[in-house]
Order: sequence, then C-alpha cells, then structure tokens
Amino acid sequence: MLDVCKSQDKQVIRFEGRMDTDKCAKIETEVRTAVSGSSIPIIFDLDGVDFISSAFLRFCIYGQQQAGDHGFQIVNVGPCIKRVFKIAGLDAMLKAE
Amino acid sequence: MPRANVGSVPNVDQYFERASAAAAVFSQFTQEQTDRVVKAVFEAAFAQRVKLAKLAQEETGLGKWQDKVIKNVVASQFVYEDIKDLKTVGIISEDPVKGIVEIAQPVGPILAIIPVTNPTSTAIFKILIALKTRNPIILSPSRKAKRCSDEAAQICYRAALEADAPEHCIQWLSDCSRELTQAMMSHDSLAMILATGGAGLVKSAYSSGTPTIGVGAGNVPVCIEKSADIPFAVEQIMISKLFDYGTICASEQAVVVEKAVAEEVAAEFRKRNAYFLSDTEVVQLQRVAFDATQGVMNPAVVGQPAAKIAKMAGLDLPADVQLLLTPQKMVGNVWPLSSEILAPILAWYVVDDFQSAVNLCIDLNFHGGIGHTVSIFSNDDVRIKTFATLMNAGRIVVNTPSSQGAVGGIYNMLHPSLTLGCGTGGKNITTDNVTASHLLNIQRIAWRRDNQRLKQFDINLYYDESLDATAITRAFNKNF
Repeated sequence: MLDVCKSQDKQVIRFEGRMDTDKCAKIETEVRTAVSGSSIPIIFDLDGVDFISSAFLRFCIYGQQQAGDHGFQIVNVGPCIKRVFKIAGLDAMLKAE
Repeated sequence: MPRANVGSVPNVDQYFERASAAAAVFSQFTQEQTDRVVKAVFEAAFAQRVKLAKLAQEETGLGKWQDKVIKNVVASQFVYEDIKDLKTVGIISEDPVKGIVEIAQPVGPILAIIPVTNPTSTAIFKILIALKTRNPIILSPSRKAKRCSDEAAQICYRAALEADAPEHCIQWLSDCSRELTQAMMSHDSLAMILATGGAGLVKSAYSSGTPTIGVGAGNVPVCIEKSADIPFAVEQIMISKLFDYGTICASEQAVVVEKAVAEEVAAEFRKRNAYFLSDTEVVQLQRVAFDATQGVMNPAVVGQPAAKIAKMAGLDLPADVQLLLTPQKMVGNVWPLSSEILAPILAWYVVDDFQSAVNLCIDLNFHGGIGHTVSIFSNDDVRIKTFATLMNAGRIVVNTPSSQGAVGGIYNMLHPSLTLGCGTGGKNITTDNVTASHLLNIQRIAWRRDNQRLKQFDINLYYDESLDATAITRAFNKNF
C-alpha cells in the first residue's frame, strides 16, 4: 500500500524499494487518486528507492502536472536515482533533490 | 497513465524525450538484467528469421529470401554468440599493477540508419548491440524497406519489453523523409549515429556534428594467385557473388588472375554456368548496369539474378546463366564495370604475374573501395602477407567467399557485423567490424602510480638548454 501523508499545506507520498514496471502497475491507481486535482503542493519522497522504471518517471511527470502552480518536489533522492533524472533530462523540471 | 502507445507518431523532440527516459532507466540495469533482455531479443528475432527474410525480399524486390534468412541468422545467432559474454556494465577490467580500472558506460541514444540491401538483418544487429550496451536505439529505415525494418524492430521491441527492458528502448521513425532524418541526426540529445548506407547519407551523418560510426563503399578485388586451389577458389567466389544476388558490399567485384592459371580459372567458371561476355556484350551490359550520368551502379540491377540482368541488357544468354563475367583491360571511370556493381556481375582481368596482379588489385581497391575488403586465394603465405600489406582494406579475407567472410563469424573469427568500418580511407573512424564494444564510453579510474624514473631525476636538467634529448634520456633512465 502507498504511504500517503496529507496535511493542510502539503501532501507527501513515500515510495520504497524497487519501483519497477510491475510495482508501478500495482500502485498506479493509488498514485493517480492521490495526486489528481491536487490543490496543495505534492512531494514524492524517494528515501529507500533504489530503482525507477519508465512507469515511475511517468508518475513523476503526472504528479508535476497535477500539482501545477501549487508545486511539485521530489526529495531524498539518492545519487543513483538522481543520475536517472539527470540522464532523462527531467531533474530541473521535477525538482529532484 | 497508460503505457505509451508505440504506434503513436511522435515529433523529433518526443523521440528523444522517450529515448532519454529509456537511457535513464537503462543506466540502472545490471549486467544480468541487460543480458536477459539481449537474450530475449535474440530469440525473438531468430524465431522470425524466415518471415522477416521473405518480407524483406517481397518489399524490396532485391536478392533471395533464402540468403536473407542467413543474413538474419548472422545478425541474430552469430552476433548474440559473439557479444553474449562481453562485459558491458560497470567495472569491466581491473589492472592492479597499472592501477587502471575500466568502467563501461552507455553512450546514449543511437540513431541507426538501415539500408535497403539488408533491411531486417541490419536492424536486428544494431538493436542487439545497442541493447547489450544499454543504449536506446531509434531506427531510420530505407523508404524502400520500411515495412520489413519496422516489423523487425517491433518483434525485437515486444521481446525486450517482455524481458523488462525500459519503454522506448527501441523506436523507429514514422516516416523516412530526408527532413526528419536530418533533424534527428543533428538533435542535441542524440549521442551517436550508426550510419550504414550510401555515401551521401553517411556524409550527411558526419556533417551533422553528432559522433558517427559510418561505412564506406566497397569495390572488392579477388586475386587468384597461381598457388591457389583453382576449382575451390572459383566455387567459393560463386558462393559469395551469388549470395543474395550480390547485394553485400563485401562481395567480389573483380577477379584478377595470373596468366599461368587463367584458362583453368575460366574453365571452372564456365562449368558453373558463368558466362564470359564478348566486348560487344560488355558494352550492352554496362549501359544497363551503370548509370553513366551519376557515375554509379544502376539501382535497377542491384540484387537481381544474372539471367534477368542479361535480358534487361538485350543479351541472348542461356536461361540458366548464374554469373556475368566481363573482361576488362583497365580500371577507372572509362571502364564502368571496374566499379562496384552489387549484382552477379564480375569484372575479369588476366595479368602476367603476381606483381601485376597486386598492382591491378591496388588500382581496383583505390577505385571506390578504399578501406573496405579485398580477397585472395593462395597457398603461399608470403604472397598472402605481401598482398595484404599493400592493400588499403579493413579486411583481407583469405581462401574465403568475401561476402560471408567479411561479415565475420562464418569463415573466420572476425566479429559478426552488418556494419563494416573502412578506416580513414573510407572516411570512417575504424577499420573494425563494428560491434557492441564500439557503443561504450570507457571511463578509467587512474590510481596513483608514481613514475619512479621521474622521482629520481633532477628536474632542473630540463631547464638546461645545453642538454639534448640523448643526454636527458640517459639521465632520466639512470639505474633503470
């Protein structure tokens, strides 16, 4: 199950482990539901994530689109995952730190 | 968030957005994960080798489907066998003495130009070497072979996804317009072009500013030296020249024989339904085989059977004719059939001796085929090495059908490849048979290893202008 922590001023979604295609398919509906039409900033917390797939990159882009002007951020990004965002050319757009 | 539709038509930037995402995901793959993808793609492509060969022959009208099956086998089975154990991920070598550790990194998105002559085999080959090195690949097929190249790409892509490869690790261009290809070639996100195709296209790739591994044209002479096993040599040349009706750029273009064995060689060719044209017939043939305006072979004869070409030329030859031999006196533009013709047509030269044979082969080699391939049939090792040293060719195949020999893996231990580098003579960066190792950036960790000679050397000697190189070298190497 997805760890979603929603407060008045932000929504933090925590991911863990290997975010491969199969895992992403299993949590897709939850992620979609959690971030759709958000009116507060969305934060993806990747502490403990050691692999991300194309599907997870799409989660990130979707999250960023849904958050819009409210803000989207990816935090606790390890070097291996940071490099993935860098190669994909998405690090700046997704504010992956 | 549906999985991206592979059938949708992206624009130039979208191709690269997808490719960059694929490169990013691929960068996390281990060697084992990578090898699993490559194996799955090999098996899928191999399983479809006959279907793809037939599709290629039907669509292009070139060559024979049976030979295209063999090309697909080389591109899948032989290439896979050659690369499967290659280390392409992470640390690939460690030398504790030198203190050098090598790390393999993918180069990034690759644009693969696919030629009409080998539309499915080149696609399979390039996909396998790209995936083995964790590089996403975008195929740009020939407009005359788009359907079959796309089909090959789709088969490989489906298998790759099944093996958990990143989405969009294989893409193919929606159209084959020059404009789209040009825009792709010069895109900032493109890492490398694998340009297998005509001279114009390869030059265009080089001009794009993107690092390119290209190929050159061939004009392969085969020297039959007098120590050769003549029946064997002729049989092998026929096997090569008739393979896919001559569409391989490494196929023999001219036979050069010493006078002492010329009659025997000619008789062996005749035994195998090869026909020697008269001077008048040569003129008739060259009108249809060579485009004098463009100064190149006429595409209409490429990959066509000899009997059909003879009919096109208005020649009344036996229906079972297999090969057209055209006696020539010299090499150059005024002798059109001394140029590369990718069809069952061979120029025929008889010369006085080995020295004259080598001289003529040099002329042929330099007449449009610099850096590609040359061939010799001989049982004299000294002469073979003499011949090889004097040629400008990436591959000098010995007692071998050159079409199959140059691509490697069947008759020798060259790397199986559908992209044959032709060195600087062919305006290429390598003479190698291009393979997976060419698609890596190698990073080197250099641990500190002090130069012990420099440590004991008085560095102030460098400032003394009276000391020449000999004196400095003596001091530098003292006690070593």
